[in-house]
Amino acid sequence: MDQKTLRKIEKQCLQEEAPACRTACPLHVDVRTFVGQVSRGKWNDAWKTLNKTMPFPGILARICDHPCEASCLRHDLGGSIRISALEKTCVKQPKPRIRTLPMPPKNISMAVIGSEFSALVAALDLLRKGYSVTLFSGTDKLGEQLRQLSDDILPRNIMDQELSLLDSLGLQREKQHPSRKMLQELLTRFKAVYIGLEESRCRELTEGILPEVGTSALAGANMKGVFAGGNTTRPIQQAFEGRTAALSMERFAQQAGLSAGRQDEGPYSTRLFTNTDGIEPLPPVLPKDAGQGYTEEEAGQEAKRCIDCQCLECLKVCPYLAHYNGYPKRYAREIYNNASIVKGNHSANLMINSCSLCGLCTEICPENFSMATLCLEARRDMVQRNTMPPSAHEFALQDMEFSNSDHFLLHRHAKGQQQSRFAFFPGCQLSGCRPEKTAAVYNFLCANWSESTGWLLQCCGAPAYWAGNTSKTDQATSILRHNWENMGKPQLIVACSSCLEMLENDLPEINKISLWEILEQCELPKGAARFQNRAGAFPNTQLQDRQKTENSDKKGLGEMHMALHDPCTTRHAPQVQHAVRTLAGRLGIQVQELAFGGEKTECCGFGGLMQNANPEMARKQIQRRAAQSDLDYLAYCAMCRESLKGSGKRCAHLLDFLFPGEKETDPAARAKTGISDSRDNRVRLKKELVAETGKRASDQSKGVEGKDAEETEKIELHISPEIAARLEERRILHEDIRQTIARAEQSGQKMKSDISGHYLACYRPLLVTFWVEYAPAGTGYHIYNSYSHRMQIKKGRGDNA
Amino acid sequence: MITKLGIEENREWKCLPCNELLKLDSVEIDYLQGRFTVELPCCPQCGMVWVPEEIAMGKMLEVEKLLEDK
Repeated sequence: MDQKTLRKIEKQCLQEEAPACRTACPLHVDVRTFVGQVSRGKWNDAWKTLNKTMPFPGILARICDHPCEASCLRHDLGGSIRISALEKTCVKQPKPRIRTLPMPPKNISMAVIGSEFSALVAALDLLRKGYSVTLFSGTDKLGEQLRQLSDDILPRNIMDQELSLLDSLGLQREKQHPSRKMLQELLTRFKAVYIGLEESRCRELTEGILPEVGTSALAGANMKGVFAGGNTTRPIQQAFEGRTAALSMERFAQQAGLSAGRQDEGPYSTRLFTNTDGIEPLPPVLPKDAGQGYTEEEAGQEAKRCIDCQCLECLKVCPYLAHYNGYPKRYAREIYNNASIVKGNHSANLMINSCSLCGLCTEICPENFSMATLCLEARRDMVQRNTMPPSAHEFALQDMEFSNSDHFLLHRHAKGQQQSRFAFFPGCQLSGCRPEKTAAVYNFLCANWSESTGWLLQCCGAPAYWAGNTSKTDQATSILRHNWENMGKPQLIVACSSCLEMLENDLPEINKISLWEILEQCELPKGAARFQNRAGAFPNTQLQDRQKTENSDKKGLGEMHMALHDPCTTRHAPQVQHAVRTLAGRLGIQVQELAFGGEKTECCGFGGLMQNANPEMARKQIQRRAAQSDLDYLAYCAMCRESLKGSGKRCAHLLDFLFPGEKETDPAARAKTGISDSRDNRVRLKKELVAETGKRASDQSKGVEGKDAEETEKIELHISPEIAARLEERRILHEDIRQTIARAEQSGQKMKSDISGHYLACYRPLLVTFWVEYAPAGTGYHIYNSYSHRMQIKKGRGDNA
Repeated sequence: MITKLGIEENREWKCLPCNELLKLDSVEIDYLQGRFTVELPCCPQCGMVWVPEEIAMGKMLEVEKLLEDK
């Protein structure tokens, strides 16, 4: 990512845009911060906030015509925040000591003609910039017009106090009002001249030299070096024009362009999006004594009505985005910096790898900011530059390699068929956790859709795509393309929506359709659960009974209510989401739509390999999802189902109802399939298919060949549920344990505890060392513990680990 | 420099081939660009090394993660 791309991406996130109150103010006073400070009673801080942008805050806060209030988002929700009244209360508080360091003197002189507000502001700003300033005015007192205001509005002593700042900054004064002739002369003595147009004598001075278009404050008058402004009765506008002119005069002195980069000066429409849904209208707090204005306490109460305009829409829906204490614009910057680091910690690595790439932020964001694109690009860059942490995605990539090895890889025409018009593509996850349903779906397709339906078993490459590993993605997709071509380019019937999305993106030439769209076009399978008819053949009585008791009060006996969870990869596949709802309806399931469903559905934490790179974050993500309904969930993606179940939520897969097993009683309670079982199931599915359709030479499983490997595979393990859960969390496969034991038993290289009688051995097949504590038990081994590390023993006297 | 990991003296695990209790000894370990010398229980005879669970899942994991983000 280059700087230009970063800017473009950053611009999409609106969070740092100024709120409407600030952009409506010509001086861009930081109203939101100020009101926040008032609400917390931080009067000194509030004073300082005003002082940052307001010239003579003690004066301006008392007389400002407050255009900010009209743009306040509270306007239609009870009434705008009384910003002006809050400012008045603030400047009545004792002024804190505010140290402002003037710029070093510039040895350039500027002239200001007039003594009204715009002229005073211009003089102040120029003095602060380090210019020497001489003020020309025919009067003794500065700010004659302001002195006409009643003392209640602007006390004289306050005014004198505020204006004394000019003297302390070294303002020089000449008590005369220059004539037109003198004006020419002044331009030889001074670099530039400002004329404050509040006074008629000053207006006369500029007759004929003010431009017809453009402002004479910014662009200058038709006399080089002369700037003018303040021809208005609005104090904030007078201040603004004085300030604008001071900046132009500086630029003029520096011979810089007057208008470049100044588009956002003065009032403009904010780009900040603020969602006001759900904000209750609240009437303004009224001061008890209208004449005295707010007390401190009343001001605090009024300030508490502030909505505190922010966007943060994406953070409200994404626990991941909310976790890193920022918002997308800041994250984009961090990701950019992360890539630029040569030495030191890549502190954004985990953030980059934790995004589920689900795309919900893009749906929610008014500017369609895509955290997924940002993170995916960053991952690709890291892989390419070899800075991707090896542990982040390794397990998922190895699992993909397993699926695309002889253990699972298969393409086959239907039994007795020489060609395939269609091919069932179940994907690795469904095959891993519902092998029996996978086979049942296939048989159903052959009988009810087309007898010319073959099999295509493999991984689509999504894990590598999510990991940002382009070469491994290409490898997977080219295997897929090759096998598909070998089968005679059948239409693929795809069970998994991630596979479908992957094919759409990387293999658009492959004709494919979702399994759910096919099933929608068929009659329901014979054995399917039918919840309309309580006496139906469906055996899941326990599930139905549970629903019945829990919901009997509100929903009627026997009705089946479930909350439907759409996988994030169907976000842009409405036809798939529709087909699933049709099927659920035919089964008699009353679908409850979750608050975030359809195109705004949420990820289960598996997407983007979030679960691999950051299991804790994935847990947060799925727990949030699971908490959105008390009903049992209905999923139609194998990984969503497993993730939901893994979080403790009751959840069934749609295939559980379409193809219920004879002995199944409660699919929503079915345990999550472990990582080892998932692999075993895939291997078994392939073996069964091969057995059914006849073994071929190409079906040899290279990975499990050889006597030793076969022996290892046969090692019987006894694993308690507690240890099984530990293995799952540590991503240690039974295969790893078997290999460790086989090696230790063969070589005798193991340790023994005289206390427990257990053995301890380790094995490092590739990049990870596995440790297993075990003891012989019957014909197999009892496993007491297992753990792993990636560090390698390099130079001990033994280098076993 | 040898880093001590606070491992208690081992009274339980014996190297089976040598029938010797494992004793703390210096061992060089590495991962990615990092190389360290630490004290781990080893067999005094054949040098077989043991990485206890609390080290593997604690300090070692921590350092692995740090090195991965270097």
